[in-house]
Amino acid sequence: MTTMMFVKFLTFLLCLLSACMPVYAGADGSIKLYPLPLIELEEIINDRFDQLGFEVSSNTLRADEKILIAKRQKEKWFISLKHHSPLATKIKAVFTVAGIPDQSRIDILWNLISTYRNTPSSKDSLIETEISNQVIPTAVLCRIESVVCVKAKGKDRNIQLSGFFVDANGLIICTAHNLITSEAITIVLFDGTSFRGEVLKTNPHLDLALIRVNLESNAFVPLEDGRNLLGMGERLYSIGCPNDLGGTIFSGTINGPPRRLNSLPFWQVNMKIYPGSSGSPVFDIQGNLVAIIKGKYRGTDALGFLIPFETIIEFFKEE
Amino acid sequence: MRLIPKVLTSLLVVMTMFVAGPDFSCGQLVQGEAAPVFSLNDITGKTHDLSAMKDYSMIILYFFDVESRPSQEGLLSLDRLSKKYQINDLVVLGIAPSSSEKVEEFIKRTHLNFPVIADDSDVSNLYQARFILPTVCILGPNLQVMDYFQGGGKTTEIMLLKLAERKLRQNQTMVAKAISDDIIGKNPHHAKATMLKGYAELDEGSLDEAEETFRKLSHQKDGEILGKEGLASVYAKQGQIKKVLALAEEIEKKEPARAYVHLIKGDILYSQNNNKAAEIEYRKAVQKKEAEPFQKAIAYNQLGRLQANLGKYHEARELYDQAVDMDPYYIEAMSNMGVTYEKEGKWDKALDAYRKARSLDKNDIFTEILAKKAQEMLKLQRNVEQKRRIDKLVKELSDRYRHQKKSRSKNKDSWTSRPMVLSFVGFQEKGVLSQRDGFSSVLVTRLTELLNASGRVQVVERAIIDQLLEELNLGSSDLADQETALKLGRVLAAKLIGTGSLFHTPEGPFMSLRLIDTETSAIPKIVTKQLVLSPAFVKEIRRINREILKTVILKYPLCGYVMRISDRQVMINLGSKQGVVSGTKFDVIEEQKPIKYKGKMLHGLPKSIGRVEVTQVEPDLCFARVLNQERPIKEDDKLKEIMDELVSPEGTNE
Repeated sequence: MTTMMFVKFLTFLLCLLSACMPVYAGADGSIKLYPLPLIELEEIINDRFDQLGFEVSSNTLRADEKILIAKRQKEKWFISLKHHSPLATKIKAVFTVAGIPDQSRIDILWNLISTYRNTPSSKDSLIETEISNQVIPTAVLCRIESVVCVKAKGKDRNIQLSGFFVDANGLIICTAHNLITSEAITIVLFDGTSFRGEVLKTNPHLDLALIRVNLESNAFVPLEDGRNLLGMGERLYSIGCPNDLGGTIFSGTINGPPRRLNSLPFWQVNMKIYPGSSGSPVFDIQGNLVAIIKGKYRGTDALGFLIPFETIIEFFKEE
Repeated sequence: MRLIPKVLTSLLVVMTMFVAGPDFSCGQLVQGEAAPVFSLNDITGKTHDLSAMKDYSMIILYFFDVESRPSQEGLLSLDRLSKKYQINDLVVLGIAPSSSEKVEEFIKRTHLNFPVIADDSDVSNLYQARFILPTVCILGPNLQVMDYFQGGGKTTEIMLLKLAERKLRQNQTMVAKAISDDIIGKNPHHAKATMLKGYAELDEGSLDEAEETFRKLSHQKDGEILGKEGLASVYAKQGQIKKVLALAEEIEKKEPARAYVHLIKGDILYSQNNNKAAEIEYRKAVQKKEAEPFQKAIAYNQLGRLQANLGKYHEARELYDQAVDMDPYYIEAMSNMGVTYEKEGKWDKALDAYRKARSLDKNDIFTEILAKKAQEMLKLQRNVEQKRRIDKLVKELSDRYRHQKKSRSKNKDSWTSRPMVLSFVGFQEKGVLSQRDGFSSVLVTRLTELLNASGRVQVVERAIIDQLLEELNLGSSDLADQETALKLGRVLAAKLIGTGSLFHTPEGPFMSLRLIDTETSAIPKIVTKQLVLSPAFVKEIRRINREILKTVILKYPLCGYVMRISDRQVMINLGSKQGVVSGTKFDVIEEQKPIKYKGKMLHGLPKSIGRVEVTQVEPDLCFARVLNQERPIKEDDKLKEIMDELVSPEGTNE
């Protein structure tokens, strides 16, 4: 009797779960076509699994199909690679944790491949290897759903930046530069759904803005867990929408003493920052909010400035 | 009161040393030999067994007294540095000959990142670290003793300096720089630390910073020579040869015993194709006494490379050995050792050498590729049947080469494609003498692997080419002649040969790869790339692979016929042997009738009347589905491969 009840409860739970993530349920997002030779794609994925400590077994089903199965405790990847031409490959990916599929991790994989394809090889190699040698902590990965892409009409062109939920009632914080209060704002969530947003207030001096969307969301970054005092050389992770690629994670370290610009404090970091990264939340290794990306130092890709947590609090305190 | 025991101890040390003579002071701890192993339990009960740690490339054993502040200073600095710069791979064991209670107290007080162990089994005696504390022992690959020093005062500084130097040799430039900065912070005019910082900057490619650091150093009293040597190597990397030679002359006048200038001069002479003069300079560099260990190591290595180029592999290996003795982290010299064995066909020894080199740095792509190749060759050597097949083939091929017989009889069907066979022959290495040997071998091995995996191109096995060259007594200089290379390509029945050069520059080799059509001598593709030895290298080669594949598809599209057609499925007379993979797309084409105009026959371009996509591939044939057709596709229709429309780099959903 009790087992029956337990099973029923489990099914109920599963139903609930699937109801929570309606967009993830479809399997259509898990097959993609990339303009890369099969072996190259296989190597990129294998390298990644290696770094993350997965145990990989590979299998050649037919002459033109390769199966990779990677396991790490309860996590399991099933990846099939198929020639689409000598220069293109069809890839199918399934990821499960303890048997439950998780589309968000597959999106991270897609992201990895597109970033690989898009980055020029020689220039950024130093920074890239530094990042790829680091495993992204789970505490940081958990924050990925609270990050959104913000799209708005700017002064003379459309702009795009990053932002994140700070409470369960749809409050979003992001940077304020280029943002005009009156214009319509679109918020794109991690799962791709979009909502209209309304700018509640902006503070151009602090370069912060508050937006509300009519949505209740459990994925938000609690401000109570924020941290202010960071150490020189401390490793940080940003999640944002560089070039409209939602859910992109970069890592970096504080590489300079706290700076002061226009009487405001900033952290200096070596971290990849692209157009659209502004407003990305930055976390420490435990996934606590520590800063927001302000922008990059002109002419570089990997030297940036962060708005520290104390400024965020100041922004919330003011009337 | 507290002084008395200290005085007593030092007295005792002096006495024992006196009694035991020189044997004691060296004891078992000879630089370059294996350290005595031990096993100790820490307070949590975890066992630290030194023999189980031999895979670590560096271990620091720090013997100290938990109650004496000065003896802890070095350990605390290590801890601070490792936390500050996140040096994750720093393996330090703090060992204290004190009671476990006191050690526990110390751990609670300091929260070190490293294990601190109470020595309850005389490990301190084993390392002669009972009387003088701190005693620091730095262990290198395979637990060999690299550095050993004792006593208070400057121990911390010496230890950090050694550590920075070793980290620099391990190519961990960031860490090396951080540690030297730390020393400079306390002692701004520390010449050695400033020098290390400069070389770290040089190695990571920040030439301007390195130049500045060395310039400042050269204005210091005790740093003039070190600074000028550094400046010379910066200019050498920038290719400013006049400046280098001027500096070299200056240094030689001032300090005739320094070795480094000869090394730099040797490199310049070599790049000017003056190998004899280069050898003389390298020999001077090896003989002169005054040099930093790494400078000596490089000199030995360069001299070894010269010997290897002359085919004197045994001499070369002896020199590489000496280079590794000077610098146990010299992965280039170890890998070069493997290359000499490879050139002699001793694949088992080559593999050993590559594995040894790889144990220093698992991320070293160069040795990874070489090791993989050696492994495959070894497998091939042991496979008797394979060996027989290759021997037979090589014999046939060499006959064919000598007599210049046509390799194939005329085929009746001139339309249908034959397999696309490509052969890499004759990669020339020129330019400066890079510290690594075997670059062309790495490049060709890797490209071969990638191209073969595509299914579209077949690359002639390296073993066959090597053996054939040996049989025909052709050296790499013969293959620089394009005609010889083409002749060889034709004999190998290759449609394309890949040839070219690697021009080594101080920043890395500049590759120029030409694909040449063996039938027409046309050059369908030239790829030129500046390569760097970093993880980006892997990516560059993958990119070259894509460029070659693209050229093959565009310039040599697969051509075939429709064999049979049924219910929107087409059977084609091309299969995986010819390079068809699933997803390959073909245009169905119709030759236009020539138009007769004023007595001349004018040919038009063939017209595409439909398109098919391959869904299933067999060795000699394949099946395709019809994507579109202007008129019904019929048997014996001609087919021509087309380049797939560009797939977006972000990937497209299916």
